[in-house]
Amino acid sequence: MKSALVASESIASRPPLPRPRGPLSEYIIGLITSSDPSDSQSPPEPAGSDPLGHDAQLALYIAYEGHYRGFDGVSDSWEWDSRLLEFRASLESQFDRALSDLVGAIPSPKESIPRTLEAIVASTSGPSLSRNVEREAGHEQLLEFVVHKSGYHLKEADPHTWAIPRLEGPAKAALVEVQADEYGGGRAERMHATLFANMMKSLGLNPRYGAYIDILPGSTLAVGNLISRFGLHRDRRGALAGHLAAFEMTSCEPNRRYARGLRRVFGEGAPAKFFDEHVEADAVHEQIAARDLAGGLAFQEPGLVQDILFGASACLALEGLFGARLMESWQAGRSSLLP
Amino acid sequence: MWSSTHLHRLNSPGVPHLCMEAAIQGYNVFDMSRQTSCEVTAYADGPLIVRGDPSTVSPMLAFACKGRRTIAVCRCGCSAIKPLCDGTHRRIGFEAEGYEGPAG
Repeated sequence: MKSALVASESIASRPPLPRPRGPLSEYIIGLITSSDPSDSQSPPEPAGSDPLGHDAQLALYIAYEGHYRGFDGVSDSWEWDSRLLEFRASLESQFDRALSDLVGAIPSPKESIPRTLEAIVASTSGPSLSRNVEREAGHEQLLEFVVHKSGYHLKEADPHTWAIPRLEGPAKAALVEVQADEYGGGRAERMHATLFANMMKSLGLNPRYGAYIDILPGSTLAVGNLISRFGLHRDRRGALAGHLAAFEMTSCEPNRRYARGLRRVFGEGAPAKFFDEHVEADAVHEQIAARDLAGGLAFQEPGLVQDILFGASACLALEGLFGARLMESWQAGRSSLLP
Repeated sequence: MWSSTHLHRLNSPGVPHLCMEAAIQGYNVFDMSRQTSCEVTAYADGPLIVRGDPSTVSPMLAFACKGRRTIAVCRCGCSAIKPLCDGTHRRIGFEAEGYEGPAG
């Protein structure tokens, strides 16, 4: 069976601009493609939209993307345009409120930060996407899973890198140690984003950065937007460190299950190997991220403790929503992607 | 020179106290004849983190690490990818003394 997700397009230099899916994304796409810079419509009020919904998250994705790869046919000068940044700030305050509602109050830690992070990770439950991928998901569902993952993995590590110049001492050294490994330790072919693109190719999927954004739901885009939210604001460096710690601490076991699921359906080869690599890499990263980065930062800047724990909780909460959407769709016999 | 059995012994009851103390601080290991070195740190409740040339402590590690500069070596004994760590220590509730982070 040839999947509709399979494409034969080659890697092009600039990502395609996504299609609008509501008033917020329509406004920002109109803004950055406008031929007349003085033609400024008043921005829509995000309050009417679901802050974690498809439209708000796509608008936020587009607002952040100027800091990453930009879009085909869109001027790079939009990256620091005041109208775009103002609109982005209104989207971010909605996003922040939704995150606070989702995470709830962060109690003051009674133990060290690494041990508190362990407790947060241990208390996170919910239906397990990784078990489903391991044992049940079929051919088309596994392709969907990889397409969802491409939203973040094709720029894997980039959003956390923003924090490097904002840290000092042991926390900085720890983040650089993790990121250097994410970027292949100096070997372009070993960069995790490149390994992911190669895996997509081996599955017949389009490895072009941004190729599938139009069909990624809000819950998938929110996973990456969250890291950009923390990474692009220095005052959220604590949350970013906590995010990376929780992200790495919840990586080994799911990746082992993903690898088993991909072996079950696609056999030995590149697809499963990408996830094998992550088991091995993240066993190192989780130690460094929890103890040296998050623990180190809490020691250096005790005022950031609450934000470190918030970042970790927000990471787990959005990962939970991401997984829940996939499983709900699959259990109802539907695609988890947008039409 | 260290052998791989030393890595295992770090977690064994017979390990000299001084040796464990050293690993918590980061244990510098040198092989004078081959002029290689690495630093071994036992992370609390987790693996040994080895930075530098892992062949200093075990040729098997050098093969397993596939060029990675920092590797995690299984200390709980339950990893499915030994000698490397695969995070299983968390699932089995492995507890062992070790480095807690810059604060601890």
